Amino acid sequence: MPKRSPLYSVQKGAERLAAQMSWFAAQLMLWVFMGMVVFPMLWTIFASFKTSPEIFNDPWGIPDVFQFQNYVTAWTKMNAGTYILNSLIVSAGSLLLIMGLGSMIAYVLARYDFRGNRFFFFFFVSGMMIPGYLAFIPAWFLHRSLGLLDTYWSLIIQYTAFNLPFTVFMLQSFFKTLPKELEEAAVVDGASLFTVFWKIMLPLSKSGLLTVSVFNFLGVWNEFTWVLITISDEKLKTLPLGAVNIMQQAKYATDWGAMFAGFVIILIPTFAVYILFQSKLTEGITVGALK
Amino acid sequence: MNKREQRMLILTFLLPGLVLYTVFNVYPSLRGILISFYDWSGLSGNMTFVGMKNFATLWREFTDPHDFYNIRLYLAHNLFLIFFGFVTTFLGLVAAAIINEKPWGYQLFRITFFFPNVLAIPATAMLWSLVLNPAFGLVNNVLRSIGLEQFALPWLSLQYQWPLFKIGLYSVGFIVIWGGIGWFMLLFLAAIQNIPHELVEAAVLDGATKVQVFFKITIPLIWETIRTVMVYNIIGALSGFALNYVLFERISQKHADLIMNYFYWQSFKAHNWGYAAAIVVVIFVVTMIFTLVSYKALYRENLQY
Repeated sequence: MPKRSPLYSVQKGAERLAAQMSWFAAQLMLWVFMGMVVFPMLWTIFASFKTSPEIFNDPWGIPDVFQFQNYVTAWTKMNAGTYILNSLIVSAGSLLLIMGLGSMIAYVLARYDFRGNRFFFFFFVSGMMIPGYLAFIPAWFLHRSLGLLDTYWSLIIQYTAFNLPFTVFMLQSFFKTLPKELEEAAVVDGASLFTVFWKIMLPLSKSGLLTVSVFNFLGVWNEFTWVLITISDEKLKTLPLGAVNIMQQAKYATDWGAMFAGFVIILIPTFAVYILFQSKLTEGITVGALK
Repeated sequence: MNKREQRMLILTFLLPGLVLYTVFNVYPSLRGILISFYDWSGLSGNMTFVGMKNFATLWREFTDPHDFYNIRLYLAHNLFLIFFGFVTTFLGLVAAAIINEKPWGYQLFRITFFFPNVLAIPATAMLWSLVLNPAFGLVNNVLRSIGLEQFALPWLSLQYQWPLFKIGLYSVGFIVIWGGIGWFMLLFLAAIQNIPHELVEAAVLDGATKVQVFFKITIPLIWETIRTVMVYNIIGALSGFALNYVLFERISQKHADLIMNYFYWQSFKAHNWGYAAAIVVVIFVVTMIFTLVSYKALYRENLQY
């Protein structure tokens, strides 16, 4: 037992106080950062209902009259509606193709032992190490010679090609965990191998499929560089490219209210998906982190 | 019979994806490397093999002492963003450690911190171009209303010089932190929650403070995750493009371009396809070297628990 100085209890008390203070400071830091995320968004939402002079002269106040006109301008004149529709079409098409092809490949690689299985697995997964920008120039020329530039297909096909490696990698590990007995029992009962896949294996891995889908959806929904180089037709642009247009148009017309409204319109779908599938995202990241 | 059905299934399941992936991903990637050895204006006949000429030109540009606005400057911008990536890593780690203690509202922190990561980069750029607007932006409004008028700066300007770079690039660095903390925090949180409780409890019984636990136990035990995140930073910072493009494309005059912005300009604007292909090959090689070196340099003896 070390000898305690007479000041021991005072010293301990001071230490405890310091610990409490630093714990308070630590929590305060989190609140500050939360403010940095939430406050700009709230401010933007309020400003989206103001006229341009109000935005300059009364940055804090609640708008006198709620200017829904800003939303009308952003939706029709600045094409936000078209961009959202395009993003929906491209995301749905890409997601269908990525998940369809990806789950078929992953299923075969996970459940069947055949010559070349390991080779194909590495062939697909190695794509995760190769950055997309290496392929940009040749892929663009390929799409041009196939007449795909300025069509939805150029986006859907390329997004599928870019996202297959990750999808195969994730789904393969999901399919591996499913029990073999179910499959065997079904085959004994006379089910075809396709039926086993479609009616038994896919429903069993619903949760894994959903997790991978959420990641792919966000990746496709937010993709910017490929759509920038392949789509020049205003009627086919997706939301990320449209955002740039809205910014430039609003600046040119100095219609700031419409720019704020445009941002809110862009924010809403992402926010909805995030709130609905937030737990899936966390789950996917956690699984990925521990792998 | 069963064997044949199996072979048919493997073939029909594998083939469509394999073809699409090979034609639209593997083949263009390899061809991208090939093109870097050619002079090519884009018309199919005009492709001439020039060996290492594109790379030699790049090297000359990189080492030219009289040319300031060139690939050397863009690479410096990228390195500057790697620095901000490391700051993000540290802040994400601290946030994860605090949230792991389950303070009041910790679920709310997790959800809000991660949200910026799922926003499209152009949307993020749009938000911050409004918030940082010198005239009506939120930041300058706050500064003016608390009497710090002199700090209400033109945050996205590329004229206003700060140490080393223009102020706009610092703002990009800040947005990188803002948009990246949440993801790193979730990765670190998963790793921290994997540390056995007994270890931390034993240390606390021995009188360790929370700060000591953080530096002496948490960081060493999740070092592998930290190392991986550092590598993500390097890969991300060297391939950065969209944020700078959206914020500065029209006004940049090369003051804020990253190396990928230069690639975009050389390829899809100036149509120097061979030269642009060489640029991405160099980015790829530099990324690989940086990744390997940092992965080696950050190696620590694996701690068992």
